[in-house]
Amino acid sequence: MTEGSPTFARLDALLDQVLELREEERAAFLAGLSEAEREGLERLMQPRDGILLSELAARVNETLAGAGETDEGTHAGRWRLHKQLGSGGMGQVFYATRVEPGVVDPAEPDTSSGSEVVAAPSTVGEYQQRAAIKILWSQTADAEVKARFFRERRILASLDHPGLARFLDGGFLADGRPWFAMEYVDGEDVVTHAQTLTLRERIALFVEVCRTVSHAHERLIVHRDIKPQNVLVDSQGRSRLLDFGVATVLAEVDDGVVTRTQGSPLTLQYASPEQVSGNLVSVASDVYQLGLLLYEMLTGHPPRNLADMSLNEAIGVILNEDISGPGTSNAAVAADLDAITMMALSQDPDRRYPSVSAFSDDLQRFLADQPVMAVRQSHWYVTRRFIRRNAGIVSVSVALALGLSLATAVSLRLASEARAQAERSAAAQQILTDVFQNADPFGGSGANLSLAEALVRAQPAIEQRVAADPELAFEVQKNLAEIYSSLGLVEEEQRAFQAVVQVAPRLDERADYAHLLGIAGVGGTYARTNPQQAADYFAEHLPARPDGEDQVTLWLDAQYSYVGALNRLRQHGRADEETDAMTQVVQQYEVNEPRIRSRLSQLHAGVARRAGNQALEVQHWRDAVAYARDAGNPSALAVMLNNRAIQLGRMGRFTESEQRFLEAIAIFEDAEHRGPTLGNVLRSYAGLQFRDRRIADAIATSEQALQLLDAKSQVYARFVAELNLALYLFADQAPSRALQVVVAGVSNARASFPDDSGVPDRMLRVFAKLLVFGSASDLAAHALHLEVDCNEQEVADVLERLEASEERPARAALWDDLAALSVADPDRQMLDEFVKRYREEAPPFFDALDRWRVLERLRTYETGSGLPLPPDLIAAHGSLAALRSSFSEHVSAQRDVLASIADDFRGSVEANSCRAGVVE
Amino acid sequence: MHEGEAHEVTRLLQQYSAGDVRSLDRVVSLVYADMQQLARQQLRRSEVGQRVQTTVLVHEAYEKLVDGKVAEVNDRRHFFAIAARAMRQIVVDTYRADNAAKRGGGRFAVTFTSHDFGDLENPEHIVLTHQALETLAEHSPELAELVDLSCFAGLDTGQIAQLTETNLRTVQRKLKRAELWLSHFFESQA
Repeated sequence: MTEGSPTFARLDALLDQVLELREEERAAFLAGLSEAEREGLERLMQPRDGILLSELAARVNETLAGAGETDEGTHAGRWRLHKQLGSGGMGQVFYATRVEPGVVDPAEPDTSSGSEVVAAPSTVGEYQQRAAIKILWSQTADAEVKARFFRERRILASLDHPGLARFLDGGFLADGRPWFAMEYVDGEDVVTHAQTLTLRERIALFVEVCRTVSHAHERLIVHRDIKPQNVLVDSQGRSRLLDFGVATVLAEVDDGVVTRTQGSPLTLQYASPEQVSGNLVSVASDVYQLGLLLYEMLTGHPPRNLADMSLNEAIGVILNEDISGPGTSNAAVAADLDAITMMALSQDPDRRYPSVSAFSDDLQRFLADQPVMAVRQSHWYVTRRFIRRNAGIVSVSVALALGLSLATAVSLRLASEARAQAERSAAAQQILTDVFQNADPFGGSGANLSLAEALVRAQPAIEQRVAADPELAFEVQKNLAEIYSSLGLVEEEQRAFQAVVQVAPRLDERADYAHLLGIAGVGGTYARTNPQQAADYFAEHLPARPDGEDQVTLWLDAQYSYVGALNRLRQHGRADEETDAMTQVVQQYEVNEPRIRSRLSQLHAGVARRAGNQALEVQHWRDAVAYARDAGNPSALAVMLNNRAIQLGRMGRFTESEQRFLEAIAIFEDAEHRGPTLGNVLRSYAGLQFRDRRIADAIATSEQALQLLDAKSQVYARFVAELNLALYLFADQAPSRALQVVVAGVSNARASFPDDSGVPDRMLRVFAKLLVFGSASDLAAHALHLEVDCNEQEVADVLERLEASEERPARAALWDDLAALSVADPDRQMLDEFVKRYREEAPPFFDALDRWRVLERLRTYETGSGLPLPPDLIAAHGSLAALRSSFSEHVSAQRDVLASIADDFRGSVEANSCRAGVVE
Repeated sequence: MHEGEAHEVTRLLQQYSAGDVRSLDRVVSLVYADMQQLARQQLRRSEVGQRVQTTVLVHEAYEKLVDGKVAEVNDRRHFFAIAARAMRQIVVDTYRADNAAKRGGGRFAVTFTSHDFGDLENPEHIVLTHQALETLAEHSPELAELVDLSCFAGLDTGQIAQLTETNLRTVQRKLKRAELWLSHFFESQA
């Protein structure tokens, strides 16, 4: 406005008046104003591209919703733009088709001969008639954005791989915005596509994506934005990796290895922890994002949904929360595959696969049924940790082969204990080094071997080398046992401990100690696999007391395993005696080690429970947990928390119980402590959920537990977990799935348990009941009955509820269970009464089967107490004959399965009747 | 927002009504953070391409912040005026943040896939409009407030008439004036 022009207020007031007037009145009004006022008003009211408030309101919403306008219909070089495919941080992407030669828009000259431009390939095939064209969002874009745009163009032009959308053409629009054209991929995203494929096909497709990413990595290009939307699958089923918009070229960075995120936009849902934290980003970030992609391809959904979280929450989750394996949400995903995915998804980039090709190699090993690098809790990582702890014994070359730096290996060696020990260790180390070099487990054709396999293969050579030197043999076997233990190879561990026992008498010093070490080790392996064998072994080999102070801890540990085995066998009388012996030793040697005090409190709690002294039991559990906290050993603490949780569950205090379970689970879910023990905790936790009537949760938790319970080293726990799962499934009205689980369980039990362990019997018995009955109440009673740590009071409580039940089988089950409990009771009258009541209620099939079992139990009891065997075992045999004939009539659909059970029973019964016959 | 903060907003609004101009800044800062959070929440809830309704946001903010405790018409009017101002600031900041992210600036920038604050047809438009509105506010706070209520709080003329206790026709006329002035300022700064 020029000088002398009217003020805003004046003009505004005039404007207000003008707007009140009709169109034809305005001229007269304006004529009455000064020239400056009139000009001012006319200028204000002239038609122009100003701001329309209605548009502004719409635009405000658009700003927030991100709805942009398009350049549809315009031209980019020889391409005509059609619909917008998407928009991102740098610009928009359009679908485009090639314009016939000669009809190039004259308003937009082809600039493909310009300096920035790479000419289109000379061979333009049919498929190149379509393109995806990316246009920078503004010609006035910031220099850095421009640079990034051209970097993407350059990167694309430098790559040539069938798994990539090829670079076709590039240039500038009339308004100066740069663009480039890529091969247009008409397809669906890889996750959607994967849902139509089998598991193996999915993995094969993923391996193909890995090859493409590897191709880029070989050219030092890190993609940094791998996500489902950027991996499309075309109609021929081939994958294409798109969008190198945030890719970076490692060679452009000073150190040539890593780069920082540099504030570039990233997709939070698919960001790696180091991208979010602003730490160094390397190929490991692509490995992580590929891990997320694999996870989603396998399960159909991302491992976690961050969409409903605030930015800070989402970042917190990415940085702090471990992802659980895809297997937990898709049961078809095998444990190895689970381990592979989890290795790629490690929080710590160092724990991931060192390269994308290592990742895809492992997947191919999986497809070929070869051992994978990332087994379970990553044996490689466990092994690395083991080597860090025992650097003195494991060779530097092995350490290097496993990816430790020389400095780490050497400094750890220097830090190792006493000198004499070091000398012996050095010799042992030399042997392992030689063996490993000869076995060449990490190079050449041996590259596919896991460490476990390599060790097992090298074992004979190792033994040969140390045969002449007992000291060395002891040292090596002891360490091998520990390695095998950390690798979960129970049989090998046991063999190594046996070797320790054998070599012990030949040692000059501490022969007794070495002997006890071996005994404890062997017994320990039995304790994990077969309680009966463990009890027998300890009874025979473990001395009644430690022989000298240096053996106290070792002895106490072994004794603890012994008591545990006895308790599992429900030989509580013997268990309590051995607990007393343990208590005496602790008192005599004034052992204050919290770990041991914790275990002792745990045992005492069991004694108190059986004595019915709940107050004392609670006190002992509290002590057990408190000592475990003092011990500073998270695993031990978690075990005690688990036990305390079980006890609280028994008392019906579900909420408190759950808290402790969750604390224990949290400890074990930490990668350092992950493993079979977590499986056991989850198994118990499932029991709580079941009792709390959260059946679906109980099923999910059981499935998780089973994945963690190794079929070899955790046979017994696995067996119980399978039974429980079957029961939960039955209670959840899913009898066919329950049946599947039991069938699998029966075959596992047959394969894993010795015939004399009694375990397959138990499995089969439950199975038979599942087939015949199937009422949730009956099953609930049995779920409790089968819990390893089941106690009388608890079963009695449930049974009390069942007694009121209208169901005859349920009532029969009640007497059955009471009879079972009475077997341990010296008072035969109780047992007889229960068996009698039970027979009255039980249908014939049930009767025969369970009467046989009760009598079988009776026999066990009387054998143990030295009393004569019951004469009515023969009668039981007769009942079983009837049982056998009733099998085939009972459930025709399951005839085959039942027949096989009948066979099993026939075998057992014949064996029993033979034994009975001898006595008579 | 905590209950205490709701009280705080009510108290500040009353102070503002009583003539304490500085309390306005504090209300705006309280409202701003909350409305931004509401906007993000709504964005995340919405389907791809669906528009965020500023009206809904402002009403949500009102429910949340004032908690039904402001019965006075005056306070309601002030609240909406403030919320609309805050909304405008959010829109402008959103654009600027987005632009900054495109430049790769900032220590750490994040875009939310498919439902993010995305590109604009002509992003500068918003910033220039904002500047024009600021100029208008210097001359006539009343007209600027009406534009805020209409465009940034998404109120229709009827709602504005009710809120400002004026008749509908007057509101329409004032908005027309505001529109003409805005275009004028917009043009002269372009």
